[in-house]
Amino acid sequence: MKLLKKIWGVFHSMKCAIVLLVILTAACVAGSLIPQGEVASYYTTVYPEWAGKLILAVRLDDMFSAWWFIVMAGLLCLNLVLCSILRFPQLLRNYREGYTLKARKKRNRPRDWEWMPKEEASVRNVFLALHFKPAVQEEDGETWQYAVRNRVGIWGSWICHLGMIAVIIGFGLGQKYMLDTYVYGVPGQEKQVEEAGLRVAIDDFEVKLRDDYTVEQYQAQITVKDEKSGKEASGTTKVNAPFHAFGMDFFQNSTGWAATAKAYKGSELLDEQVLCQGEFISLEEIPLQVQMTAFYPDYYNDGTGPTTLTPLLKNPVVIYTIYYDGNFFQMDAIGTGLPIQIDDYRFVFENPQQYTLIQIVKDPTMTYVGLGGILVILGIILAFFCRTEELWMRENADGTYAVFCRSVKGAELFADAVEEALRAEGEITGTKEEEGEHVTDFNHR
Amino acid sequence: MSQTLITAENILFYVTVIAYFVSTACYFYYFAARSSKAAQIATALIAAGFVFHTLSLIVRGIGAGRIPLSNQFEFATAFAWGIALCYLLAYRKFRVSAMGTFIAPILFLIIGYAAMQSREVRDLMPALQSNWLVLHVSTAIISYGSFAVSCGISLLYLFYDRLSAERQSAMPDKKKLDQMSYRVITFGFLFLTIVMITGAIWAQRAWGHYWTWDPKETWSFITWLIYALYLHLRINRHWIGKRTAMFAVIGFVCVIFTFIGVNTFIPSIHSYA
Repeated sequence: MKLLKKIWGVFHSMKCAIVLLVILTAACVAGSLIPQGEVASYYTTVYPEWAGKLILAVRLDDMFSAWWFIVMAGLLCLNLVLCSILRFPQLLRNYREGYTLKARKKRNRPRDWEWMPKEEASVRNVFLALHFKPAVQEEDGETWQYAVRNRVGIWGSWICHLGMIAVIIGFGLGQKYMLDTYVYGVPGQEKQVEEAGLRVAIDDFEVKLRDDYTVEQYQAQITVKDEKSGKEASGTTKVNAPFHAFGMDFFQNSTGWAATAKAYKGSELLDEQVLCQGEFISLEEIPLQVQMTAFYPDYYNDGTGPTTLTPLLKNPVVIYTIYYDGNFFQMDAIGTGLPIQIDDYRFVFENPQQYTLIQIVKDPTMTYVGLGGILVILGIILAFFCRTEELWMRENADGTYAVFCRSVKGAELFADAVEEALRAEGEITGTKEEEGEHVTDFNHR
Repeated sequence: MSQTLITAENILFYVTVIAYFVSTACYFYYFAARSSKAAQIATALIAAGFVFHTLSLIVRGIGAGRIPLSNQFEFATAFAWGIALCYLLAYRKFRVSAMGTFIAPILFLIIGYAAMQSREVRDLMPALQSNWLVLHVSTAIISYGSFAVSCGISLLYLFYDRLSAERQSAMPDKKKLDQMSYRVITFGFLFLTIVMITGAIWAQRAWGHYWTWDPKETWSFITWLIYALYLHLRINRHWIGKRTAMFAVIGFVCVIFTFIGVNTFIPSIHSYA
């Protein structure tokens, strides 16, 4: 029982949160410096053998999906949830009852200054100069003036943590349940997207170029058909302006070159396919494959390697690779429309055009993550820019005032502002040093 | 961009660089010789440099036909502008000239880094044509500027004990420096949070994912974690003084690495920036 209590105590402690934050920070540093997602041999060759083995053993090669990283993030989230639950009643009580003269008097803290006002209106002027609305209260035969502002600020860190919980849980669930797939093709093609239960037709695709041939925009016109309901939706997707339909976003993600590849035996057309870069055309009769390895619309080779002078189809050349029975056979460059002859077989690449890759994303948790982000910002604003500050004074029999001030955050600067206002409206006749060391109030969690 | 605008932008930019350089020298002189006149001149030079700097950014924006926040030069010069702005705001609020001795060199180094970058005005690639980018980078300038100022104040704090009693009496005590640094950090932290959220929204609209653990994203998250740790340790564990001053300096080192180091040493989707 004692052990369970101890574990429970550790889980919702600030110490635990700080340790987890430090571990996560260190993990992020490692994850950003070590290349992620490379093949295992990369790590054992680039790094000393022991380091490579260590990286693979503790999954530093795939840090942000590593089980221990996820566990640490989960523990941080658990810590935030527990703290938020446990702090709520205390905060509510504090919000309702903590900011009153009664509560302050209970603490019996030493005054910060003894002050003699210039005139009767000076007391009120000090409060007003500091943007407080004072209330006069008679207690135990003493006259007090008390004011508090930005009481709502005490909710700041709680709201911020609530937002963080929403972001972490939303992000985690999003990684698990989000749909993230893609289709690619040239205008006129229609592709099935099984995971999404859709068919996507690429009606048009345009790469808008500026005069200097830099890309101004990639723009695809698509029609999406929901296979279940039979409904259709058409629209345009551009970079930074995705098309939205059936609860999914369709992003213009990428592009490349495609060409129609034709395979002949003598004059007989055996096969015809639109190949995108990296794709193959295969023959059924013999184990022969031809890959469209690369494409240069305005081919140029000065001996240092092939390149393209412009993105325009001025001198289109295909780099192809032939495989026979799965083994490399030949690689070469050929102009479009020209034949590649292999015994009785002939291959021709024609009609080069740009294909588009459309990314399809559906993240059901996005709203919660967005809401979490808003809460985090709101929480930070409340916590640090709506600082809860209190000012109260007790009138002494000799006409002086005992002045007290309290701020949860930034106490010194607030005390300076109060002191300045007091000096402007009277004379300070005693300071906190005379009454003992001033204790800055901190918001204990 | 027309030749006239290029010339105007060049003149304004180099006048700014000179103003910041002379200001840095004046602050050093003020610190060494305790000349309050030198401090006044230094602050006035930063204010004048800030005006020229603003004009140079406006001229570049007019010439480029967009807000100039889209490549390494533009962000570096805007970063320096953000430092100057945050310094002038902090000076107006706290009236502490000595912090300029530590902030002006940072300002000069950042604008010096900008001066070494290509100044060519290029049209934007499609992914950068977004209002979210403008919001993302604008808030980054304010955030990074605030962290630079807090770093300067914290360096002053760390040097405080080495100063003579006479020099110490001419500036706020250590407690107040500590609080000033803290206040500026809270401001920067708010803006850093907005930077990350606007960046996530922009990434979602451009690439379909709001977070992909790209090195730039990861480092901005690391910076956020470090400042979050600073705030937690300060408020809840009562870390104040030297330890938090060190934290503020480390935090700013992370900011610099996020801005320059990631682009230089780590391949990233942000390599254009």
